[in-house]
Amino acid sequence: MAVVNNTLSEINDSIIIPAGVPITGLSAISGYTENVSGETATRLFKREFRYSLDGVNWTGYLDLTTPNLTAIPINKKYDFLIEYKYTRIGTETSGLLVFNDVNITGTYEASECGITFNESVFKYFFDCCCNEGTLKWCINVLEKIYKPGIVSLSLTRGENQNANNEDRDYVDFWRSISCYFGLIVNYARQFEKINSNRNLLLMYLKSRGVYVCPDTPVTDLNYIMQKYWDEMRHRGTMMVTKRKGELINGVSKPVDGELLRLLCYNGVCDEFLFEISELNRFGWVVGEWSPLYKGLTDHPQLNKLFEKSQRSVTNLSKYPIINAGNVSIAVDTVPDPRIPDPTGTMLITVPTAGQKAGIGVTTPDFSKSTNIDSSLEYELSFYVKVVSGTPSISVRMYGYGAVEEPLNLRDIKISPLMPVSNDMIVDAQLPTTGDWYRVSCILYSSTHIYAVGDPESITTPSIGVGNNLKTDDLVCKIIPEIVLDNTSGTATGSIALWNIRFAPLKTGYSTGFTNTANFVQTWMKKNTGQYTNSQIETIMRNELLPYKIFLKNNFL
Amino acid sequence: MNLKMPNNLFLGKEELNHLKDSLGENGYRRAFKQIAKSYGVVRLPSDVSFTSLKVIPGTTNGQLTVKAGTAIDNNVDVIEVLSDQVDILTTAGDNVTRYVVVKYNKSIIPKGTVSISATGEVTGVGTEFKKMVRGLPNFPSLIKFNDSVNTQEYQVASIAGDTSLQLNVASGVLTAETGKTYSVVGTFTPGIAVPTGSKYPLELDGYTLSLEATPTVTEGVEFVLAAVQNNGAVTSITDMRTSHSFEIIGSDDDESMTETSVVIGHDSVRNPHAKSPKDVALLTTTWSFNSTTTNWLHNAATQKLTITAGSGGSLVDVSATSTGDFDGWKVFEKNTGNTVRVIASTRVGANMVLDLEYIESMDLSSEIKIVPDADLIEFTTNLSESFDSLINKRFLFNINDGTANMELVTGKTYRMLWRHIKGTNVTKWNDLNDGAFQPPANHNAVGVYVGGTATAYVAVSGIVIADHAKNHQDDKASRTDPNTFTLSSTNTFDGSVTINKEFILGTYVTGGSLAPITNHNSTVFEGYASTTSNASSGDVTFTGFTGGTNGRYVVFQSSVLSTSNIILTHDDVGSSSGNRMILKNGKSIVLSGGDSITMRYDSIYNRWVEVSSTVKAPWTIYNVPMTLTGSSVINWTHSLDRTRYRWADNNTLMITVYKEFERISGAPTITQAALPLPVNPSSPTSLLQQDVTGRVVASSTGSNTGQTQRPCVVNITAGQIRFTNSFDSAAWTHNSDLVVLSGTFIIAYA
Repeated sequence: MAVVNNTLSEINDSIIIPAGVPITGLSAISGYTENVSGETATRLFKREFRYSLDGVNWTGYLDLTTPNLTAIPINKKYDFLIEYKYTRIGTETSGLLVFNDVNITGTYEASECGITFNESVFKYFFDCCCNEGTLKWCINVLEKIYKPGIVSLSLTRGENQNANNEDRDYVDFWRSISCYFGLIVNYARQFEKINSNRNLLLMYLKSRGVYVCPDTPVTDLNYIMQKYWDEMRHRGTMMVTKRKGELINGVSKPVDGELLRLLCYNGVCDEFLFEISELNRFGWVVGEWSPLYKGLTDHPQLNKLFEKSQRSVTNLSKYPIINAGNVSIAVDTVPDPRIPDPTGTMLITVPTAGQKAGIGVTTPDFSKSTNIDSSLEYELSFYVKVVSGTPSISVRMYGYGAVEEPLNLRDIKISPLMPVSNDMIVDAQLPTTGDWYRVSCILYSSTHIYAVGDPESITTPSIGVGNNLKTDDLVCKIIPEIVLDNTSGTATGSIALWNIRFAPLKTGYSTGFTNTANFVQTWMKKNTGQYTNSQIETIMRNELLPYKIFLKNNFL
Repeated sequence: MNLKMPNNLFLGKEELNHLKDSLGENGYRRAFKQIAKSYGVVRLPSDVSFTSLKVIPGTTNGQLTVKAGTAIDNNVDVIEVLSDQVDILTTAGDNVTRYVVVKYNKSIIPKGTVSISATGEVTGVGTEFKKMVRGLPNFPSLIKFNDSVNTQEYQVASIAGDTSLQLNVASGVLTAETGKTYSVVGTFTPGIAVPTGSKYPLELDGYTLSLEATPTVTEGVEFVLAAVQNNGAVTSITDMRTSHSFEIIGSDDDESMTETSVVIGHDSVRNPHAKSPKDVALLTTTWSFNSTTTNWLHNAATQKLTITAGSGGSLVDVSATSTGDFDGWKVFEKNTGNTVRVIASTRVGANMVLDLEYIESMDLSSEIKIVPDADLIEFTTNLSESFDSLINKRFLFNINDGTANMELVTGKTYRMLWRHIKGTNVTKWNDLNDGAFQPPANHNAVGVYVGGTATAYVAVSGIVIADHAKNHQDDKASRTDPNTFTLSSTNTFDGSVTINKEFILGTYVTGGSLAPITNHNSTVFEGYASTTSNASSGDVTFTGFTGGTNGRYVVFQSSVLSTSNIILTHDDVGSSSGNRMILKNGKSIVLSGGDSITMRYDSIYNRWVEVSSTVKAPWTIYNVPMTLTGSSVINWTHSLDRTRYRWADNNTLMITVYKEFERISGAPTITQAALPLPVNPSSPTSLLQQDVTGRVVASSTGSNTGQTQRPCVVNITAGQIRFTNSFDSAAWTHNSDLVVLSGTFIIAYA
């Protein structure tokens, strides 16, 4: 006799598939399905089953046939148990019979737990109908109570195996008791596994004042539970804003920062920007910042792409490069009043005919893309100068959806249709060599409306040619392209790029505070339904951020 | 108004505008408005010749140049013309008067012009790029070119200097141009559709110069600089800037203040009320030169006002004025209340011609007063060393009043001073002549006190002058020329009048030679104290005169030119009874050339009564002794040795018989004989050989008392005087008693 797993190799080998959890809600049985293999005319299974309608008393084995199954007097309120027995029969001794699974088919009506259960503490942990642990414990104890030994036999039962439901009262009475205790036992057992119980973890962390998103992975919840004091220590620091996986001093951050968890931040598409404004970037700093100005030009912390916090180009690996052989880092030593300390610039030389070189997209590298919010306006800006020759510069913007599918942007200059376009500047040349120019292109929000006679300051990049774009509702990622295009084959020379930025264009408010330090402004999308914007702001002020900050939140 | 700036305050548009208003509209502008008296062209102390915004002829006729200068309007906006605007305006040669008007307007065009290259290089001429725009990296300015084919707003990349900048543009964006102006659009939040009204935040002071035929000038906003008129050959320019000049209240060195006056003087000192106590005198003082309607003319085209007649204060008429007397004064038009400043005053012949600043028109029916350019005039007597509270007085009058009365306590010694007040400016105190009460040596020709010491105060004391005394020459305090008092009603001097100097009666001279007729109820006395008539066409007779009023004196003279006689007849029925004359001796009087008669009208007699009569030529008293004896005086003769005679009796024309008749026996029957001149002298006009009619008054004791008069005839010839008819006549029978006449006739001869 050899039954290995679900394989029967010899005649009379049997596999008994025992009953699991009682089935409730089954109102009629119409047949069965099975998945077996290896049967031949001389090597086949003998199929039998037995069942219990009260979870305690079983019938004898019956042939597993549809008539026998349909003949079961099932009731949806019964705790129906069924056990299968597959035995190898036939004459052939060779070969294997493989049993994979068997299922009965029928009509199932989901039972309702009832208001009593639904309003009990148990409901928070498990359902009334299908909880394996509870039902198993319930049936097990009921069987013990039913059988002689625990309850006096003066309470008559089991004489006829409850063949005619004559023990129904006994069974139902003790079943209620044992199942209730089953619920209690099962409830108690929840706390044996708090590490894996999301709800308990969420409640535990919540009770300890830690903010987590209900969707936070259990592993992250466990980490937070274990590193509770670390999490507390992160409050009042930028750590509350760091994403899971972001390198902090070379170490990947294991969980999202608490502010992100509070927002239920979705890193796939959500915009999140957090800036502690530099002192010369708000209020009134003569020559640096104006109280009525709402632009966000040169806010390093808001730069969303590439080398985010610096103007110089120092690491090409952070850029999506096309024709890397034509792109290098050069130190610009020519003083120019237009740009302060251009220590590192990106030198792009004209590629061979028919090609382009620079920052751009051949195959999208989403590690070098950035999330955007379609309700926000963004500015792509960079300084550029012609180093030699007469190169033509093109600037484009490529959009992608939540699953990284390409999505077109729209040209705001041509209307009212605003046709799809990714081109901002195509083959523009600069009039002088050696002079730095600042190119600013705007990506408007999806709600931007074409207006007849929009001035060039709206429609046209800063150098007076090209057109600005608007995004689409579904676009949540972009990758810009700044290239020298030599499709004509006649371009020559090279250009230098410096201070390449992609950041929100402006605020909806001015920042004309006098003598205010630690001005913090955020742009963030709230995915949680647990808190209102106002509550989130209160939590940020009271618990997550230093008291001395001046906070301005922009909920997207 | 203020903006507090605590920590963490948000400075938004509202706060910044509040700050701007607290510094501007409610700051310096408000302060400026508080101290500004008038707005217009600014004349700096250094601008001695006042060229600020002066309009002068341009390079060719009709063209106008406006000189560099400054004006300030009532919003304290500054109109600054930095350089001479040569030939900036042109007026047509149509002889139409037009006005150069300057007005402030905000400009968005900075100084200078620019040239634009296709590569984005902008080169300026006279530009100040460093002041006006900003380049990369910090929020570069946007600029826009005006009237240019380059229509975009361009970002400034870099600024090389005040005259050179580079634009942040790609190739092909710009088209090369020259001679353009530019405006600074500003630096705005990118991606914002900035409303046009919000662009160009750098507002500059600008102005508009215009030439308008019928300007509708908003006071304090637009300023007329000049009136110009081009006749095709010559352009005349009338400067009108001083009518629109900027002035500040409270300046102690207001050069426009008039500190002296050629006019001011006392007109009279008199008792204010005829029946009031004489302890208060009313001092009338004038400081304006006045001209009534028809005595002046205004030419709106040339803004010249010509005064043909006028007077005021110490200036008795136009002839007393001099060129420059009224420079800087103002003309006050009484009917309209308008005033206009006098730019220059010039004596042109018998007229005074004033060059006025602009006034659209004047009311020719109005009286005008030329007064100093001040608001008020103040008089004081309390700067005297006396601490007498009765002396210390101050009086303040509107300068346009021109004349004022001031009550002073009589019997005191005053030192009167005056000064002008304009806004808060005041001039120094000036001594004021009191005219008749101050020794003339202490005053200059125009009546201003110049002499004496501080103690030589004016004495205004003991004045008891009837109202009509103001007609008197001596009552004219500061005038040195004769004066005329024209009174419109009966006036009474209720007191004694002492006239120390010449007393001249106004005389009516009848024109030409009178017709040789008899005049009844003559009106030659109407309105005149004396009348002189020429009788050279034959003897003229007057039987009576109208105009008789009780007590009225008249003098009637036969002109020295008369070659015939004027005969006044006694109580002649030819005239109405109230107009007749009672003449001496009841006889007519003959007035030869130069002779006169004085009569007084007596309401009791209801006649003109002769007071005296005179003859032109000096007479020699000639005593004619005579003795009449017997009962008849008929044909009594006495020899004369002169060719012309008249009866002498204190220069009257009556003969007086001192002892005409003397009774020598019996009851007296004749006591007096009077021999008047003949009623109708016959030619020749001399008295020679003319019969006169005398009378004899009968004694009440006579036998026939019904005859109280008897005619007699006195015949005066070149050689004799004789009674030509007897005392006896048909109705008269004298007594049998012998009447003896004895005595002396006194006659005069020439």
